[in-house]
Amino acid sequence: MSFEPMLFGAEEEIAEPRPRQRVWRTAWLEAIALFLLAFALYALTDILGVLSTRPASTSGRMGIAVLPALLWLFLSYRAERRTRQPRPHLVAVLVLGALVASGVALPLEEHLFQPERWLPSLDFFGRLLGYATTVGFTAEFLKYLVLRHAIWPQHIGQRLDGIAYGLAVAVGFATVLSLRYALLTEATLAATALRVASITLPHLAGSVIVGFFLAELWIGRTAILWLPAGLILAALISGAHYAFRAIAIVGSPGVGSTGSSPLLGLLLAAGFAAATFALFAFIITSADARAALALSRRLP
Amino acid sequence: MSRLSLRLPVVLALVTTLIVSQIALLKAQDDEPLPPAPVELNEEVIKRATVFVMQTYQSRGQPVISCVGSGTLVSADGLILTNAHNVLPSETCRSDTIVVAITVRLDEPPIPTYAAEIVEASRGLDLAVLRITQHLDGRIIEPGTLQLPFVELGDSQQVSLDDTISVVGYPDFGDAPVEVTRGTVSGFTAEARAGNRAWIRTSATIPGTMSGGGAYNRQGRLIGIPTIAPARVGGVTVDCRIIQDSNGDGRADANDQCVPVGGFISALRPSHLARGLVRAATLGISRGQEYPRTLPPLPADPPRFSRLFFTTRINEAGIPANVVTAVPTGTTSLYLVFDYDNMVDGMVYELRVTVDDVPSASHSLPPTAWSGGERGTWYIGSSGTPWENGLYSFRLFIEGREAASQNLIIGGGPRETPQFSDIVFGFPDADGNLTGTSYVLPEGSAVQARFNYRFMTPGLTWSYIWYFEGAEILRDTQPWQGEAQGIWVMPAAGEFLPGQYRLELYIENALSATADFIVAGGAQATGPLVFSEFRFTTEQIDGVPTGPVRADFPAGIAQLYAFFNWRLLAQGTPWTRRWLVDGDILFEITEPWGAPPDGENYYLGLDSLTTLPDGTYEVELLVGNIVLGRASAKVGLGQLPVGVFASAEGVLMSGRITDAETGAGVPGVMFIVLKPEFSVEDFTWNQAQVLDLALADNEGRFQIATLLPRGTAEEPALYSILVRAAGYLPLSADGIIVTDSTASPVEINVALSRN
Amino acid sequence: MSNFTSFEPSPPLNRVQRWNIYLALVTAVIVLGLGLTMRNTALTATQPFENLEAGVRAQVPRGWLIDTAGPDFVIRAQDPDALPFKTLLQISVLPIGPDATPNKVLDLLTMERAARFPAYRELLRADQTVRGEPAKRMEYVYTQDERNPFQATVSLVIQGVDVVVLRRGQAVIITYREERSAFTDHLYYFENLLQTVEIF
Repeated sequence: MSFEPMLFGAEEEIAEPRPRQRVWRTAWLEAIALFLLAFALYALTDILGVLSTRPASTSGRMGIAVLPALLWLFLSYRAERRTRQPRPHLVAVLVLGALVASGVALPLEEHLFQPERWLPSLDFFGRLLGYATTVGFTAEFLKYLVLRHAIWPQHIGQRLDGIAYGLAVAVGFATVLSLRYALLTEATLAATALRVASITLPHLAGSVIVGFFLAELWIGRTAILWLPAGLILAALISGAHYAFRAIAIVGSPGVGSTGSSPLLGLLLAAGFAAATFALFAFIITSADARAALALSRRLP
Repeated sequence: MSRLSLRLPVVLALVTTLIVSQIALLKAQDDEPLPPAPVELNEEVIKRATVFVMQTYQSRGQPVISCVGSGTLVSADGLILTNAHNVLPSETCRSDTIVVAITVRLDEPPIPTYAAEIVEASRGLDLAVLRITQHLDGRIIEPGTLQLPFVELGDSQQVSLDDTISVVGYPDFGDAPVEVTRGTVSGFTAEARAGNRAWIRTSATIPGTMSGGGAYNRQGRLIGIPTIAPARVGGVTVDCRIIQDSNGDGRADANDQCVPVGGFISALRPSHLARGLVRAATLGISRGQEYPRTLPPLPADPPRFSRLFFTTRINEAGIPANVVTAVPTGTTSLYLVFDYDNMVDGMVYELRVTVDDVPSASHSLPPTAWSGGERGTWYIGSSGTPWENGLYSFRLFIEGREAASQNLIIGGGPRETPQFSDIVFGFPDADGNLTGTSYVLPEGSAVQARFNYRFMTPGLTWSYIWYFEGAEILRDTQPWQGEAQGIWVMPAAGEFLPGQYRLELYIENALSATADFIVAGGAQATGPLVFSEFRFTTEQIDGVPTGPVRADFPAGIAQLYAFFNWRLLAQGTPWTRRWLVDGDILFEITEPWGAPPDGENYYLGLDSLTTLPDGTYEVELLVGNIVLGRASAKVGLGQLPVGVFASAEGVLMSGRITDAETGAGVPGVMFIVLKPEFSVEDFTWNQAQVLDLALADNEGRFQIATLLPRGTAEEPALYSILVRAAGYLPLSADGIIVTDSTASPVEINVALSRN
Repeated sequence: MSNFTSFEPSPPLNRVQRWNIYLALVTAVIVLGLGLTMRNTALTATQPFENLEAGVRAQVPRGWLIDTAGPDFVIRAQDPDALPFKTLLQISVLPIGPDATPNKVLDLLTMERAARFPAYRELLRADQTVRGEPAKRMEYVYTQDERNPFQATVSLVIQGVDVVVLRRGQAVIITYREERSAFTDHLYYFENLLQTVEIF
């Protein structure tokens, strides 16, 4: 039995085996664009007072809710279509993600898990575990099911494929959650944008994990509990985001303080997404390099 | 170089001295304890505590408003202090229901919300206390369930000239929001029975419908009740608005009931005159059954004022010490004294004063309710405020009609005209000195009058007249044979039977001094013995004590009766009875004696809504302002429970709870304020740890009904708050500081973040 | 070119991959089971309450605002989170005469409440048992309006249920009140209370 460290950097540049879109650049762009847009709307409303603090129209809120999907289409999908060998079924995966969210995840959350009834009364770890084992795990498992039955393993040729499909299913899934929020909540544009970013960015982070673990399951050599561990990790990440968010966005009310810090919620969501992106980009790069190195050693 | 070397140390020394002195000064300022900043008037609380009172009656199934006025909530459970004429039914103000409208939004007119009942009322003082008892739909309000904003009574005896006051009330017949009018105290008007502060006069312009509202000092304490005379049919002309078709003829016209709203108020009834009424109502105590007395029938003859004269001094017994016809420049004290007959409490009387034919608002008394009973001697005036020089004309009006007048000149230097003053009555002791000098004497035959005289000259004609029950019994005229100045003792011959006496002294046929006295009771060492054998019991039947007679009663009794015997008290003699609890007067009634001259088992009762609170109950009996009988009984611990009179002092906490994302109010959210001794971490969700809680309304607004007790700058009160609602992240905070200088209300706006 | 309706057939999986797939399903079942257990535990978490003087012991929901100092109840618990009405559970003890019946106690309650609650109306009376003891159950509705007249609050329709158990000169009244639309959803709080209440 040999030990192959995964996190070692590449010793030399290896040519990409399949000429596909590199994913990370557009994923970062999408996340940053979403973050900046939400921040700009917040600043214009709550800091500069340029935008109205009255609830926005439903169409305006819906526009904000579908923005992540539009950004994905405009950035990731367009870039994908420009490559020599675009990944197939990306839109289908996005749509499937949206369907499982609306058809399964939302009904389960609203009628079975009902997190608003019991999670706020728990402590930090209670919230983390409670959310991770109900809403969080359900979301990640549903996204996994979509990927597993739509594109896995036949369209997984490299680890980045898992990431690309994971991001697509996450965008679809999060868009439905955002649309539900936009439809049911008469919020301002800024609040809608902050909430959409807070929904979407953690889902992107979770799906990166699920996508990577699925890709690795097909490409690499994994343990027997690899996939369950990935799902649990993704669920814990979403649980952690939920628990940390409860701390971040709530302050101490008092004279002159409303006890609400929505900007911290946005920063937290962006931080979770950024950390996950950076970590898994590094892991994938290292793993790909390690695999390429191994391949080059086997070649005559 | 040498100059530089000299200059540098000097400059350094100067700079150092300056710095050190500044530091020392700052430190000294730090060390010196600053007086606590006075808590300023909380206008919002006062406005919310001001209610609009309407007398209504049913006509053809529809409520008809007959009279309106303002009132002030003086307890959280709905006690309202207002003018008696605002709530007592009368010919003008037909009434079967008293409707209370409250200010829900400060910029909007009041909203009829409750029905109230009269707990206590004094037509004479024109003060009444109401209790909110029902919702307008007839549902009973359980005692203690209301949590309304209220104000505390201040000490109106401490009000000074030129103090700033705020008068709060409704300026219209319910069509305008509650209004605050600011002004200053322009003086005080004295009246018999109520003393030198029977009225507080103000420069504020107060509309008539604010009558019954409140006047507040800078600390927000109620120090006066703006009071206008009750409207009268055919009486003082008032603005009367027709607003309803009260007779059901399909038209709202001159034949319909109109609502009197006119006039302006310049007089405030001091709040100390209402303290007893409010305390009794707060304790749930009312006057119980009393000895069946024969009160004279309402006078058939027209009311009248007579024997008008002026005095510059009123003594402690309420007797004019001198009689003046002209007053020198610089006088600050002057009273008009007059006799009255056939008056009825609640009648409207008025004093109009002109100075050199120019009306003087400050010396006049606007139309007000009469409070002196049927007959006696009355005075109006003021002390402590300057009377400018001029020819004064005093005109008295009864129900808008002139009843009497008298003129007086103020000006010039002190005159050395012969005069008598300071008449007192008593008995000679073994050495011939006058003892027991007062105005209530026991039955006997050796009454002497003693008075001062000044600037007398031998041979000057002087005379005296003795009266008994208004009829002359003795008169004599003599040439003066005494010194120019001194004390004269004048024996009075004859048998002095129980009753009311008067002595008038004249110099050259002009009244120079006069005093009344009462003969009652038998002689004893310390004075007349009129009332004796005081006993207390809890039950009586037909004037006979049937319960245990004792001085200590267990807690939980519902009634208390004071029994006593009396002797030699002539019918018609004015007497006063008081009930006190722990030294505070609850009830005080002055009226003519209406029982036989001698008797046993006169009784005075106290009733309670539930049970009489623990305390020391005292009854005091007075004749001619002299306390002639006093006895007390303890109930329970003999002391009122601590905090029985709720304090309105504290900080109001209110605010709005919104959704952080929508900005909309979140209805139903619970806002909890913990008692200062508990922090959020200590809180175990036990109600005993909660100071108070409130639920947000439709707009997300909440208001903590309990005022937050203040701390001090050194030891601030620290409060913790919690906000919780399903679907939102819970919020909490410790350390909300409330000190004696914290402005009220403390506004806390909370934005709830969704889960 | 991607196609929305058809995907390529899946290539064969090795043993590890198959087991990962199976174990992912097993994990889902376990994790969700754990999550639901946590949820149910949190929603039904209780704390003990005991009043020896009144002879009542019960489990009341944890995290509710508990008042044991009221003049007319032994314990009153209110859900501070509930919107717009604070779900209420209450146990009160009423002294009764030897001839009193549960029905009479409910009559007294009805008379008292009809004067106090706007639009009070009794819905039903039925027999039931509380931990083996015979009891009488009454359901009713009324409207609740805000006591503070300075607040603009819409009246709520409240549905309530009382269960009366008689015991040695006392009637123990166990009460549940909830805003009408949530009455059935939260009835389990009351059922839990009935299952745990001990009258001794």
